[in-house]
Amino acid sequence: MAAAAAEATTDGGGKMIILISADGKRFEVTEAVASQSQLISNMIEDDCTENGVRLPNVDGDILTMVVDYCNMHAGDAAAAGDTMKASSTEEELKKFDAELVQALENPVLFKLILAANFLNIKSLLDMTCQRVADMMSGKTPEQMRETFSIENDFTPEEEAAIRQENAWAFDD
Amino acid sequence: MGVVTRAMKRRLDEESSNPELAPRGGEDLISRLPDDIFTSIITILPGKDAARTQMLSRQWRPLWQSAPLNLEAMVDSRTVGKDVTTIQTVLQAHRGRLCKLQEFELFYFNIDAENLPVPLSVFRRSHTLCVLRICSTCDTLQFPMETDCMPNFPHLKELTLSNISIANSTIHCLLSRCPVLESLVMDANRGYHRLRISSLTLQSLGVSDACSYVEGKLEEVIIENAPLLERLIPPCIRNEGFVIWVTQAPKLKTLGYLSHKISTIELGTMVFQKLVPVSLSNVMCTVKILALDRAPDLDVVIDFLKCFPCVEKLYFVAFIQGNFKNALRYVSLECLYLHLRMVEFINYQGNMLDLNFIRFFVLNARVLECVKLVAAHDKYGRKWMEKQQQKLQLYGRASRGITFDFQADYGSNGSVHMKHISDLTTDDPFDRHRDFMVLAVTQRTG
Repeated sequence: MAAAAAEATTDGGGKMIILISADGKRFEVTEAVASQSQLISNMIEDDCTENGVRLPNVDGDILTMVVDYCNMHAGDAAAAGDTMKASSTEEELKKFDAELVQALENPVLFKLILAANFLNIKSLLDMTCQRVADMMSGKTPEQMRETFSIENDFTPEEEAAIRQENAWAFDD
Repeated sequence: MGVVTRAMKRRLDEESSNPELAPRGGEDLISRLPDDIFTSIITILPGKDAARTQMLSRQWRPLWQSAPLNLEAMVDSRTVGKDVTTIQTVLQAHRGRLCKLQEFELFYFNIDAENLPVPLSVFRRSHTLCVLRICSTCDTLQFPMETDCMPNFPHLKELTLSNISIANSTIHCLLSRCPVLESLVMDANRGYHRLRISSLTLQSLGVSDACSYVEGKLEEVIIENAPLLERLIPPCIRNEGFVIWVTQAPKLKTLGYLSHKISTIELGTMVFQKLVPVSLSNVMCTVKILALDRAPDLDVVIDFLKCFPCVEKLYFVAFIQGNFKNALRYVSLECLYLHLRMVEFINYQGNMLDLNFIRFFVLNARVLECVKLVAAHDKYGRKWMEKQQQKLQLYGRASRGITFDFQADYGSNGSVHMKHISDLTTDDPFDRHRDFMVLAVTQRTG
C-alpha cells in the first residue's frame, strides 16, 4: 500500500514520496518538496524511495517542522526567474522563517539542526545555526554556558590561562 | 552514488527496525552537534564572541582556531595603537601564520594620516581571503600595497574600498589579482580618474566618485568585458560629467540610480546623454529593476521604458523639479502592458507634477500591483495621506489590484547601502523595506 502511495502522482504531476519518522509517523510530500533535502534528492535520483524513506534519527514532531519548511520553500526556486513574484513571496517566506526560528528553543532547536544536517537542507541549516549564533552573541562565556546548559569541564587555572591568552576578546 | 544511497537506505531501514541503533536526543543536545556545525556557528559569530567560545568547555576549546576567521575591526583615531595591537594579537592567536582569514573588514574612524595603520600581515593572508572591506571616514588613507608586491587573492569574491586613496596602477593591478571576484564596490576613492573593468566572474559593480574638492577623483568607468555582470550601481555620483561605458553586458538586470550628473552612459549600442536616450531604436530586455534619480518628467521616463521594455520595478527619487507639464495621457508600451509591477517614488511631494506622474502609471500599467510613495516625514500625516489617496483613486485605472503604500521618510536620500550592492543573496539592492521596517509608518490601502 505504501508502494502504491509512493507511486501516486499529484494533480500537478509531481511524484509523491513518503517520509517515515523515527516514531513511525508518515508524511506524504511531492518530490519537488522533498528534493530540498540533498540526501533525499540523491535517493530520488537513484530510485531508492519506493516503500517510503525511513528517517530513524528524526522524530515526528521535528519532521513536521522540516516538512512545513520544505513545503513553504518549494516554490522558491521556481519563482526565482521572476523578480517581482520572487520578492513578494520572499517577504512571506522571510516572515515564515523569522517566526519559525524565533519560536525555537533548545532542545528543539538542536534537534532541528541535527535533522537539517542529516537531511542536508542547507538553507534550514544556515538559518538554525544563525539562531544559535544570535543566542550566543554579546554574551560572556558564563552566560553562553547557561543558555545552552554546557558543562564547564576546565579547572579554574585552565580557565584563567585561556582568558589571559585571549584578553582582547574580553575587554569591551 | 547509487551504491552509496542504497547502502544509506539499507542502514536507515535497519536503524528504524532496531531503535537501539538510532541516535536519540537527550537533554545535552548541543554537545552532540558535530564539530563542523560548531565551526560554522563560530564562523558567523562576531570576532570577540567567536573567540570567547574557547572558554566554554574542552570540546569547544580547539574549534575557534580551526574555524575560518572573520574579523571586523575598527581603528579609531583615539585608540589607534591599541586597536592595531588587537588586530595583530587576534591574527597571532588564531594559529599565527596558518590563520585562515576568510573575511576581513576594517573601518577607520577619523584617521587622518597617509599610511594605513594596518599590519601588512593581514595581506600576507590574502590567499585565504574571500571578503575584504576597507572603509575610512577621512580620505587621506593610502592603500597599503604597491604594484610590485601585490599578492594574489585567489579566493576573493567581494572587495569594497571606500574613501581610500589608491593609485591608478595599484587598483588595476589589484583587480587583476582577483580571478574570482563577484562583487566590487569602489566608493568615493581617489587616485584614479578612470576605472577599467574586465572580469569573467564579476556580477555586481557599485561605483561612485569623491567629493568635488578631492583631486584625482573618478570620472570615467569603462566596462570592457563582464559577461556575468547583473548589477551596475552608481549610487551617488557627486560631480557633473561622469561617464560610464559598457561595451557589453548581456546579463544586466539591475541598473541605477542613474542621475543627471552622469553626462554619458553607453550600454552596448544604447546611449544616454544627461539621462535622455539619444536614440530609441535599441532596447535592452534583460533589465528588470531600474532606478532613476531625476526630475519626475513623464516624457523622459516613457523613453526609458521604451529602452528597457521588461522593467518590473521602477525606483524613482525626485529631489529636483523641472519645467515640464506631465500632462496625463494614454500610452501603450510593452513594459506597461506586461511587466511593470512596482513603482517606488522617493520624496513624493503630492503636487500636481508628482500626482500626474503616479496617475500616469495607475492609468496605463496593466499589471501594476504596488505603488510606494515615500514622503518627507514633516509632510506626512493622516489627513494629507487620505487626501492623496482620494486624488489617486482614478476611474478607469488599468490594473484592478493596486496597493498604495505610503511611507514617512526619515532622512533617506534614495542612495543604496554598500552592503546591499555586494549582497548577491538578495534580488533587489534598492529595496529599503528591510531597513525601514521599524522606522517607517506604513499605511496600506486597497
